[in-house]
Amino acid sequence: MIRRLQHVFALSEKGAKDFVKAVIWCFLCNISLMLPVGVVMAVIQYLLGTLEAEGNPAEGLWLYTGAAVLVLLVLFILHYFQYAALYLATYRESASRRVSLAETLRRLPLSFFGNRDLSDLTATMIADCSSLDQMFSHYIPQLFASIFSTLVIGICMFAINWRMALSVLWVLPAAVLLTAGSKKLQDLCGTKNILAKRAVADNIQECLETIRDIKACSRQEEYLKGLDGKLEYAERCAIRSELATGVFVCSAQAFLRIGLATTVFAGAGLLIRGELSFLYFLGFLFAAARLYDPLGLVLQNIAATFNAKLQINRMRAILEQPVQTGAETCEPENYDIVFDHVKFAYRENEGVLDDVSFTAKQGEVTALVGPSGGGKSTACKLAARFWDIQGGTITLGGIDISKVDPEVLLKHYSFVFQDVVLFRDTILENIRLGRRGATDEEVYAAAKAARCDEFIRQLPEGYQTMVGENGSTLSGGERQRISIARALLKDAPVILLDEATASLDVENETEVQEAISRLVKNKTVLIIAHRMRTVTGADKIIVLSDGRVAEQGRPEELYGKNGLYTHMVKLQTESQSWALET
Amino acid sequence: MKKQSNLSRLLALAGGHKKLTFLGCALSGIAAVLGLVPYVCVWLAAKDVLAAYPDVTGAFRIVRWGWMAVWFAIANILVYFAALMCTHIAAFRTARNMRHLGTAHILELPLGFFTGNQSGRLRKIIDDNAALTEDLLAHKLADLTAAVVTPIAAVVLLFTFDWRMGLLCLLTMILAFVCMASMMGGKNAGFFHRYQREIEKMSAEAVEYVRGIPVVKVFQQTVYSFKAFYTAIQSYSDLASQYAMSCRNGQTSFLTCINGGFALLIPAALLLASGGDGWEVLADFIFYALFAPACGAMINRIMYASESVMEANEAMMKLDQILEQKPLEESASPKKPENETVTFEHVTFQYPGTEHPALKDVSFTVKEGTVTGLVGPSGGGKSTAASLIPRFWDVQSGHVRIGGADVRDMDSRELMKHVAFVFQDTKLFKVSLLENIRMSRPSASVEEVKAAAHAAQCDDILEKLPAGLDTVVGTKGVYLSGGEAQRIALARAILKDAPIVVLDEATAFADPENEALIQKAFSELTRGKTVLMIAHRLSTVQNADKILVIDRGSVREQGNHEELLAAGGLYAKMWSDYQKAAAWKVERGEKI
Repeated sequence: MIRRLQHVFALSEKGAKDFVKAVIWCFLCNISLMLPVGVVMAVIQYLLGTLEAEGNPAEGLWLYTGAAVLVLLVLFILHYFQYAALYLATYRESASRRVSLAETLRRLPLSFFGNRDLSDLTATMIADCSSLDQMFSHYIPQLFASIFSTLVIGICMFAINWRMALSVLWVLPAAVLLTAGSKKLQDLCGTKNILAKRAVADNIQECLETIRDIKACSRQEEYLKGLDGKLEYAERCAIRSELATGVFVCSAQAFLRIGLATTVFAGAGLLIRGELSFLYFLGFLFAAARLYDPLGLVLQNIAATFNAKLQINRMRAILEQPVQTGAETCEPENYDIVFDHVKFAYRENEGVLDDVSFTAKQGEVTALVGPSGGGKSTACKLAARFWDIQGGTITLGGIDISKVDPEVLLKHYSFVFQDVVLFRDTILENIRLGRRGATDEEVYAAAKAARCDEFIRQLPEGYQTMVGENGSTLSGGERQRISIARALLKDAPVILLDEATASLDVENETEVQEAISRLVKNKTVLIIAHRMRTVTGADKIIVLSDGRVAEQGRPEELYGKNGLYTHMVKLQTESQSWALET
Repeated sequence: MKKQSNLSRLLALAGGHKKLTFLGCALSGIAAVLGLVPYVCVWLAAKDVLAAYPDVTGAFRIVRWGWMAVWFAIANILVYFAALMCTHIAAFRTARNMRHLGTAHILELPLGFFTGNQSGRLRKIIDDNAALTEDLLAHKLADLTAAVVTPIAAVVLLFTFDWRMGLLCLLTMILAFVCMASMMGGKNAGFFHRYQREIEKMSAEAVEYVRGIPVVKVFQQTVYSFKAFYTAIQSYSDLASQYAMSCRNGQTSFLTCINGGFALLIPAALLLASGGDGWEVLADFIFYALFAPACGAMINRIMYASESVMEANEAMMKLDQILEQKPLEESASPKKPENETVTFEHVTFQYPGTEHPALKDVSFTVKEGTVTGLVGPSGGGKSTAASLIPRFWDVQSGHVRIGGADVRDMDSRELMKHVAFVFQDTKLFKVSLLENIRMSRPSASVEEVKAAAHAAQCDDILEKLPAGLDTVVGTKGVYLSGGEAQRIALARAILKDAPIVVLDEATAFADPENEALIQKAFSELTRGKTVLMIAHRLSTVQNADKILVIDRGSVREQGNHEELLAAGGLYAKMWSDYQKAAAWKVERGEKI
C-alpha cells in the first residue's frame, strides 16, 4: 500500500509512511470530537433524572466536570500529535521532494534544458511543490480521515436509530453529488476561464517584451484597448465559471447545514410519536453539529484537491524522465570524433540531420559552416551526447559515445558557447568552475590567457567581485572571455566552439581569438562560425545544409569548387567591407 | 494603518462595483444571522419538550420548530449564495482594473525601466498579484463579516437565553482568539513576510540552478551548484518547520478551545440548575452545547481571513513597486522641431544606482540629411547616447534637441513621428506580418506595406510562408530567425518614413545570407534621411559624414574617416585592430 501511495502522490517512502500516520491522527481527532457529545448527553440525562426526582443537580458537579476536563485533555493530546503528524512531517517531505526533484533534474540529458522555457519550468516546479505542501499538510489527509471517521460514526448512528441516522446523513451524499456533479461543469467553464486568463497573461507579457516597439510606433492606446477587450472577456469567463462551480461548492457546504434542520424536523416527528427518546434526539443533534464541520472543510478544498492531480502528474513527468546511462569509464586511444551516417531529429518527422558522416581529427581544427537551420549547432552538441541519435554512430577515439555515461564522457570536452552562463558568485569561483581543484594561481593564469585579467582587475573588488544575475553586470564580450577562461582551465582534449566570438566587438574579438588559438593546440577542435573568415584557416570544413553534408574538404579545395562554401565566403567578404552610403 | 489604506485602495479599484462588495458583505452578515435561527428552533423545541416531560408525545408544536429550522437553513443558503456572487463580481472587476492599471502605467514609464527588469518578473507582479487579491475580496471579506456578525448576534441572544452561560460561550471564543493571536504576535509577527522572502529566494536559486545545469554538467560540477539550491531549500524548510513548531502549542490550544466550549458549560449548568429553575437551565444548556461548536467555526474563518488580508497586502505592495515609478513627464506646452538636426548640448547622464555617469558633458550635432556614425569600445556610452534621443531615459543636465526643441518639451507622439529606431533585437507581435509592419503607420495601404517589405528585402520570407503577409507570427510553428525578424522590423521602419533614423547595427549578424540582405535594407531605410548609426564594425561607417568616437562617457574624437586616421588617435588604433581581426583565422597553435 505504501508503494502505491508513493506512486499516486509522488511521495518518498518516508513521505508515504508519514502520510498514513497523518491520516490516522486526523481520523482519531475526528472521532474524538464525538467525546464531548457523550459527556453532554450524560449531563443531560443526569439533569433530567435529578430534576424529575427533584434532587440537587450540584451533587454531580465534580464527577461531570472531571469527565469534561478529561475529555479536554484527550482532545488536547490528540490534536497535539495530529499537528506534528500533519505539519512537521509535511515540511520535511517538502524539502525532500524538492531535493529529489533537483537531483533528478541534474541527471537529465542536456537536451532537456534546450527546448524548455527554464524560468517557467522552475517557477512551476516551486509553485507545485508549495501547493503540494499545502495539499498534504491540510487537505488530503483530512479528506481521507473524514471519509473514514464519517463512515464509522454513520454506522454507529444507523445502529442506534436508522431513521434519525438518515435525517442526519442524507445531506452528505447530496453535498458530495452536488460537488462532483459540478465537476463536469467546472471542467468546461474552468478550461475556458484558464484560456481567457492565459490570453491576458500572454498579452501583458507581449506588451512588456515589445514595449519599445509599441512606443516607437505610438500605439499605446490601441494596445491598451486590445488588452481591455481580453480583460473584459476574461472577467465574463471568470464570473460564469464562478457561477457554475465556486457557488456549487460553497452551497454544497451550506447544504450540510440543512442536515441540522432536518434532524430537528425528523426528530421532532419521531419524538411526539414516541418512537425516539428525548435524550437520543439531542444526541443526534449534537453529533450532527460536530459531524459537518470537518466535512465542510473537505468540500471547501475539494477543487484544490482535484487540481493536485494535475500538479502531481507534472511532477511525475519530470521525476520519471528517462536518464541517459552508460559505461562508467571511457579511455579512448585518441580523440578523433567520427560521425558515421548519423540521423537525428528533435521530434518525429522533423529531421535535423540526415545521414551525416565526417571525421574531426585530433590535432586539427574542423569547422562546421552553412546557413542557419542547417544543423551545425545540433551536430556540435551531438558530439558530446546532448541527445541520443536515431541512426548511425558517433565515436570518440573508436568508442561509441552512446555507450558512455554522459558525465564520464564530458570529462574529455571543453565548451565555449554563444550564450554564457554565469553564477551568482565571485568571478574567481565562476572561472574555477572549469576545474574545481585549481589553485588561485592557476585561475589567474587561465584568466590572463583568456584576456580577462585586465578587466577583472579594474572591477571594484577584482576577482572577488560578485557577478549579478547571470552576469548582468558584465558585457557580452567580458562574459564570453570568462567562459573561455573556464575552458582553458579545464584543458580538455576535445574542444567545441559554438559561435564563440559572435557577440564580441572588434577589440575584444582580436584578444579572444588569440586566446582561443592557445586553447586549440594539439586538441580535437570542432568550431561553428557564421563569419567565414574565422574558419578559412581551419584544417577541414564541413558545409552542412538542410541536415546533410553538402561539401567537405580543406578550405582551399572547397573554394575551388565554387559551391555553397564559395558563395558564402564571397557574400560575406562583400558584407564585411560594406559601408553605409551617404 | 498601512493595511487599512491598502484595503480601502483595493476596494476603490473595484470602481462602480465597490457597492457590490458592501452588498455582498451585508448579505453574508444576514445569512449568518439566518444561520443562527435553526439553533434557536432547537431551543424552542427543547423548551416545549421539557415542559411536557416526561410525556413528550404531547409536545406536538415542536414539529413546527422543525419546519422552521429547515426553511431558515434554506434561506441561509440562498442569501449566502447571493452574497458570494456579489463579492465575486466585485473581486473580478478589481483584479481586472489592477491589471489594466499596472499595464497602463508601465506603458508610460521611461523605457530604460525595462532594461533592468525582466519581463517575466514584471508580468508576475501585474498578473499574479491581481489574482492574489481575488481570494480576499471574493471569499474572505464576506466570511469575515459573517464571523463578526455572529458573535454580535450571539451577544444579543445572551439576553434572550441564560446570560451566564452565554458569557461562558463568549469566553471560550475569546480564549480561542487569544491562542490565535499568540501565534501571530511575538517573534512570529513578521513571519509571513519572511516566508515570502524565503520562497522568493528559493525560486531564484532554483532558476539559477536549472539554468546552470548544462554548464555545470559539462564541467562535472553539479554538486557545486546543487549546494546553493540545496541550502535555499533547507533554509526555507527550516523556517517553515520552525514556524510550524512554534505554533504547535498555540494551534493545539486553539483547536481544544473551539471544541471544548462544553467543558465550561457543564459545571455552570449543574450549579445554575441547583440554584434556579432547573428545567429552564436545561433548555438553555442544550442550546449552548449545540451552539458552542458553531462559534469555533467562526473563529476559524477569522484566522483564514487574516491570512488573505496579508496576502492582498503583499500584492498591493508589489504593485506599488511599479506604480511608484515616475512616468515620463509630458510637456504642457509642447514644442515642434524646426528641422531635423539632432543636437546634444553638454549632456550628462548617469544610470540610476550607479556611481559614475555614463555620459559626461557630451556635445555633438547630427546635421539634417547627414550620416553620423557612433563608434567606440563596448560600454563606452554609444548605445546610451542613442537611447537618450527616444527618451528611454531623460538626461540629468544638458539638452538633447531635435530641430532646436528639447525632446522633453516635445509631445511624445510628435517625437516618435520624427524618429525611427531600429534595435538590435527586435521582437515581433503575435499578429500577422501585415499588421506587424503596418504598426508604424496604421493608415498605410496593403500596397504600401508590400512596397516597404520589398524595400526591406523581405520577399523571400513572404514567399516561403504559406499565407504570405497574412501569416501570424509565433503560432503553429511560424518562427522567424533573428535575421528575418530584423528585416521585418526594417520594413516597419521604412514604412514609417521618419526623417531621422537611429540604427543599432547588430553585433552578431545571422548567417551571411541574412547579413547581406539586412545591409541592403539599411541602405533603403537611410536613403535621404538624417542618420545616427551605432556601428560595431568600423567599415560600416567609414563613408559617414561624421564619425564620433565615444569612450568612457565622452566624445574623444570626431571627424570623417580620413581626418580621424590622419589624427592617429584612438580611432586610428581601433581601425588597425579591426583590420587585424578581420584577417584573423583559427589556426593550429603552433602556427602562431
